[in-house]
This record gives sequence, structure tokens and C-alpha cells, in this order.
Amino acid sequence: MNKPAQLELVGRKIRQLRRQRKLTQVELADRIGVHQSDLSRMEQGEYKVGLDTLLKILGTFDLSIGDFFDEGNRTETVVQKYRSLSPTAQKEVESFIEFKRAQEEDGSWDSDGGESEGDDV
Amino acid sequence: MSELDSRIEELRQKALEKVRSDEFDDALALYDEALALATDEEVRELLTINKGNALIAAERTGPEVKALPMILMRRRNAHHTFLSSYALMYTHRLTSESKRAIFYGQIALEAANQADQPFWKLAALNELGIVYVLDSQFQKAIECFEQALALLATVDGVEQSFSQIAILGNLGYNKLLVGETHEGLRLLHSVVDEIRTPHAKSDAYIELCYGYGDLEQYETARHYGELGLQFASEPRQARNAHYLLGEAAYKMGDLEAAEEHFDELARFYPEFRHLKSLLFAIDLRSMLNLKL
Repeated sequence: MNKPAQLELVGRKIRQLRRQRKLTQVELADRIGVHQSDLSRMEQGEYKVGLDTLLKILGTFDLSIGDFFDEGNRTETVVQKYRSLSPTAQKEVESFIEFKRAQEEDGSWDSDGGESEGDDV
Repeated sequence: MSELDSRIEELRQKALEKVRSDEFDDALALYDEALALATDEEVRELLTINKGNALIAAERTGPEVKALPMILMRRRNAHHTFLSSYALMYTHRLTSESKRAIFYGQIALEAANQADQPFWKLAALNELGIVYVLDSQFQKAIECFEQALALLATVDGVEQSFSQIAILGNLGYNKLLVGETHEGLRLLHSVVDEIRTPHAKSDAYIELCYGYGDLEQYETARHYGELGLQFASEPRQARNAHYLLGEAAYKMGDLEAAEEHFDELARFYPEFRHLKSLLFAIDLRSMLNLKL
């Protein structure tokens, strides 16, 4: 079960959200109790933070999955539907995604017809 | 040495003992008594540094703490330079001012080198390493801890095992952070059973959980994460353990356990409505410094 990770991705997202909310680095840094220079390095993916600080930042923006991935309604709806499933059903969905991914990787998916690139969620 | 000088030194030594046993009020009273007797400027300066140190250790402040930068600027002798800069490094570490802490740490290390005092150097290297970790300068932290270990092997009389355990543990965690996961885990395993305090044990177990997570050995990661949680003695440790346990469980496909741990973590942030769903969707591990 892989999830997108990564210092730069989260750092860029924090910078983007801060700018969208018209907060300066000093204002956000004050709000969450870090130094402005550390926030700057965090946004550039050069600084690792404590979990508490990171969650306070994300909480400041009251971030949802859709906000984080900055994707359209379709993806958000799919994710919301997924989240509403039971753990067992979620496992089945994940297995199906893995199955589809494996099909794509070995090229066999194309021979079925009816599917096209870009359909992956 | 006059009788008065001997009395002042005796009071100072007693105060240092009290600080070592965390009896800060007694220590401060002894320093005050010594300061009331001392007239020599150099002696008064040393007592002021020592009292400043005691206040910092007790997480308090006072005129003696505020006097430390001035004492450092005066640079009366190597001993006072080292003690005052070391105290300033420590106090700035406690207030998360890592840049200032590094600045004073470098002065402390320089003073230790100039005086050719291995004990001072050892203390400065370990503390400076800790500050570099907090500032995400992991390679520099590794250099400090490796130098400290090399020095430790050459110094007699230091409490070898305690210092070595602490430094090896610090080095192990940094190795994990720079991607030398196997080496980091080896170092942590070499000391984890020797660690005495529950607080330090919790940190080490949580770091092992983190390392095994990197190796995608999630079952082992969960084992150590549970131990880390069991010994957790501050909210930071509980939060880190729940987060890493949730991640490991999620990656094993154990969504119920993941949900339980993310729920526990979410309790710390009741105002963050989407926290749990966000944790299910993104991996924050690479952003984290477990020491903060």
C-alpha cells in the first residue's frame, strides 16, 4: 500500500496553501510556534519537523485530501466513496487497483479492449 | 588557597553535586552563599556561570543566565569561555533556537580544543550533534557523534557506558535519517537493551520502528512501535508511536489497527477534522524529525 510521501511535495503544498490564504511566513510561523527560517526551509523540503508541528500546520489549513492533492471533484468523490467503505471492502478495492496496475505494467490490459489510458484513479 | 577561598570552593562543589542530582533549589542556595562570600572577580564570574547553568537545568531564568553572553564576550579564560558558551548552547536548544545554539556550540568546541580538554570536547561534540539533528543538519550531526565516539575511546575516567550508549543511540537515529538504515538499526540494537530510563527507551524503540518501516519490515516495526508506546512518557513519544504504528499497520493492510492508531493521534488535534482521512492518504514519514 503505497502513499505519496515526500518532503518536497508536502513542503510545496504548505507554501501553496499559505500563499492562497495570504499568510506570510512570519504569520504562519508565529501561529504554529516555529521560526520563520525553519518554516522557509520546510517549504523547500530541507527541514524535517516534529509531528506535532506538521499536524498543526496542516490543521491550520484544515486540509482535506482533495485540498492536498489539488485534484478535481471526481478524484475527491472517489476517495470519499472509498473512505466510506468498511475496512474489508477497502481491502478489496485496493486489491483490485493492484490487479489493474499489474495488468497495465505487463501490457495485458490493452488486449481486453474497452479501456483506455488515463482511466486510472 | 585561603580559608575563605577553600570555603567558597567547597560550597561550589556541593552546589555542583546538587545540580547533578537535580536538587536545584539547594544548589541555588549554595551558589548564593558562595557569591555572598566571594570578592575576587574571576571567582564571582565562575560562580555566576555555574548558577546560570543550574537555573537553565532547572528550566528557569534569572540575572545569572542573562549575564552569560557578557561573560562569554569577556573571554576571561578558556574554562569560563567553554562553560558560558556551553550553557548558552544548551539554553538555546531548549528554546528551539537552533541557529544560536549551533553558534554557541561551535564556540564551546573551539574553547575545548584550544584548552585541549577531552571532557569538554566530548560534551561539546555530543551537545552540538544533538542541536544539528534538531536543525536537520544530519550529516554534521553524524560527524559530531563519530568524533565524540572516537574521543570517548581515548579518555579515561569518563562514565564510559552511559556516554557511549547515548552517543551510539544518537548516531544510530541519524544514520536512519540519511538513509543508512541497516547501520542505523545495528547501532540502535547495540544499545537499546542498555538504556535505563523509560523515556530514552521509548525514543529508541520508536526509532527502531521508524527504521524497520523504511525497510518495509512492518511486523518488526510494529513490535518496536508497541514497545515505544508502552514506555512513552511524554506526548511527543505517544504521538510518534501512534503515527508510525498506524503507518506500519496501514502498509500491512491492517486497516483496523491503522484506524485505531490514527484515531489515537487525532485525539491530540480535535479541531483538525480531516486528520484521519489525510493520514490514510499521505505518508508524512519523510517530513518527520522524531526528536522534535
